[in-house]
Amino acid sequence: MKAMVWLTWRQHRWVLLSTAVLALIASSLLVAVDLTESPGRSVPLPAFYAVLLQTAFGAVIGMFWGAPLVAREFEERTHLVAWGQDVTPQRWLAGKVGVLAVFALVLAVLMGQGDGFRGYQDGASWALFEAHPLVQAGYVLLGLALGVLFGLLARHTLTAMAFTLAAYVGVRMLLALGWREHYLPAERAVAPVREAASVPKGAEIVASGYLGGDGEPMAVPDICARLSRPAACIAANGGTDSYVDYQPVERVFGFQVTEFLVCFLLALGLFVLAHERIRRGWRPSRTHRRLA
Amino acid sequence: MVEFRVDRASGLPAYLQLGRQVREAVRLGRLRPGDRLPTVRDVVATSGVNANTVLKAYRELELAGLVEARQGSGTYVKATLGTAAPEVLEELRGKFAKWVIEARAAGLEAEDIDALVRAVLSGGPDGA
Amino acid sequence: MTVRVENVSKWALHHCSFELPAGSVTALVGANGAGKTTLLNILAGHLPADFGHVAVAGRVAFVPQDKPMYKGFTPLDVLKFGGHMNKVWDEYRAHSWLHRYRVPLKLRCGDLSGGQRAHVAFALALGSRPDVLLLDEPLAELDPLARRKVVRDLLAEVADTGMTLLYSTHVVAELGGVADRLLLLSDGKLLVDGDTDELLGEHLEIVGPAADEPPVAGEVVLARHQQRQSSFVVRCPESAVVEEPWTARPVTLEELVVAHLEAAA
Repeated sequence: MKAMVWLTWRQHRWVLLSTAVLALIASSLLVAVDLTESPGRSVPLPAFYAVLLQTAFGAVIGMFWGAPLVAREFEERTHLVAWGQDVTPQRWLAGKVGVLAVFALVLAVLMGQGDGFRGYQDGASWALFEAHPLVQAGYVLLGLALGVLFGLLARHTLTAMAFTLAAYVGVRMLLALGWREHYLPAERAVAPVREAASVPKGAEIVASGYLGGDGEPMAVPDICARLSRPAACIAANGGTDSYVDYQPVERVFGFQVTEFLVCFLLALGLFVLAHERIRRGWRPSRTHRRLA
Repeated sequence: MVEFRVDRASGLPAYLQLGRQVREAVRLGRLRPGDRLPTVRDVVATSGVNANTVLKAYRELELAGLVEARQGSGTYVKATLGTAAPEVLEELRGKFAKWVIEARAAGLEAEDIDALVRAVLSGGPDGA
Repeated sequence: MTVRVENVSKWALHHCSFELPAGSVTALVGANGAGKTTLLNILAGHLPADFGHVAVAGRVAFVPQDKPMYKGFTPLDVLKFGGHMNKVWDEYRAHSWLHRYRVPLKLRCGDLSGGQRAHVAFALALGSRPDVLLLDEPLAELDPLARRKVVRDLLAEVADTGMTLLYSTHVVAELGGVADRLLLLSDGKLLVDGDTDELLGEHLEIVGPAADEPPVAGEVVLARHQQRQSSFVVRCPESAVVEEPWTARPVTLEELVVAHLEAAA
């Protein structure tokens, strides 16, 4: 283990240090900028970049730490050096990914401290969902695992970086726009058809509409959809209630844990794939099958 | 002491070349009974010959009865080669050297002398 | 036996089989593209064979022809790397190799000359005290003087540690006395596999009047016919006797290799 810490630090210290500096600057901006007291002011440019980095931090780790990890070794042919020692290729991979993961987690905690808009906030909020250490932790692990696997498959750093970015953006969009609101079934607020259902403060609205006589959401008839106040029309067409589906603010932390677990499990799966690939491609060079 | 030289381009296996050089050294009196041959490691380090080649050469010399391996201390020359005593050898050498000077004075090159010696040795038309 | 290759096929290689005894020094010779590098990579464990079986007793070290090395590492870093990454590490051995060849220890490997980088790669390989050392064209970018010195020092390492050395080379003329064994590859096929001394003893060049067959029984490696003269390179028992009007002379290793390659072409 000590060997892999030494090697990882020796080989990647500059990229680790520069990422750390970047993360420190960004996170201090994310925490420092507070516009809640002065409405109408826009986010200052440095803080905007900090928010950008926060949104893409997993991708940055994946592209600059993960993708070159194996791909650069192939490009420089130093994999023949790295994987020709007593430390087996699998242990080399596990050690390096492990050390980088620990380092990335520390930076993820930094990057999950504020949102560059509201300053440092203690309470849970859907708007701050991604500005949380745990969520950032999931993202960096996912990015790292994607980068390592693509680096191993592509054997070319730039290609691996491109694939990592594309895959990371894809997974993040899938999570943010598709999966996240379904981690738990939504709560439903119901009100008479002519009134708006009231939703608890801070809840994230998932869906809204009208319920038919059977208590199930109904399709809004075409003729009603054209009206600016469709309630009467809907009531005439069999609608009994209006409803709003929402995720209450109390669930934010649970969802953040879930999002972390989803990313963690995805990352673990990707790492196992990379590990298996290396194990099959490279017999441990130093501990060959012994002669009978 | 002998210093080994191996002609790598020669068709003669290297271990035979080493053996021949030891014989030559013994014949010319550069190695005498009781002298120690260089260790295998020394030969390897100085002449760039494989250790197995050196071992093979020493083993062959041992089988021929020319040297003996003493447990743990090395390989030593055991016997002399040739029938002449060192003094006789020295005298012959002196005579031959004189002859060579004469031959050179007569205008013979080294190559001519070489050819002459070989012709005499093989008992050809000019010899005997 | 420390190395056993059984019926191995991969890319250019076709069903190669051979064994190397412990402590032997073997030269792997053949034209470019003959499969030497593939074979060494398979033995080093960096390539799986498509077919056949490779077994190596003990720890292997492999130095590829291009001597890859971390450009940002200094030679001292490389030694530290060797120490960290290996169960057995002989710092003295590695260090003295670098010292002997005057490799600057504190320059980045990327700034070293090709020859110096090669010595860093050798030092790393030797420091790990391998049982089997595989070198792909170790002498390629060295001048004749350095070549002689490296060969001498490598042989001394073999003598000191008893490791098995297998190296590929183009410089057949310098093999005499260096390699115990010769492996000759051509188009992925193993043409010759044997003890160099025995091979030299067995091969004769026989020249005489025009004839279809040489005057001795044995395998005709190469036959050349001119109007009034035929010459044969023959592999025959060492006891074979050649009579007038034929003349026989021993062949050198280079002639032997060239004859086999020419015959295979």
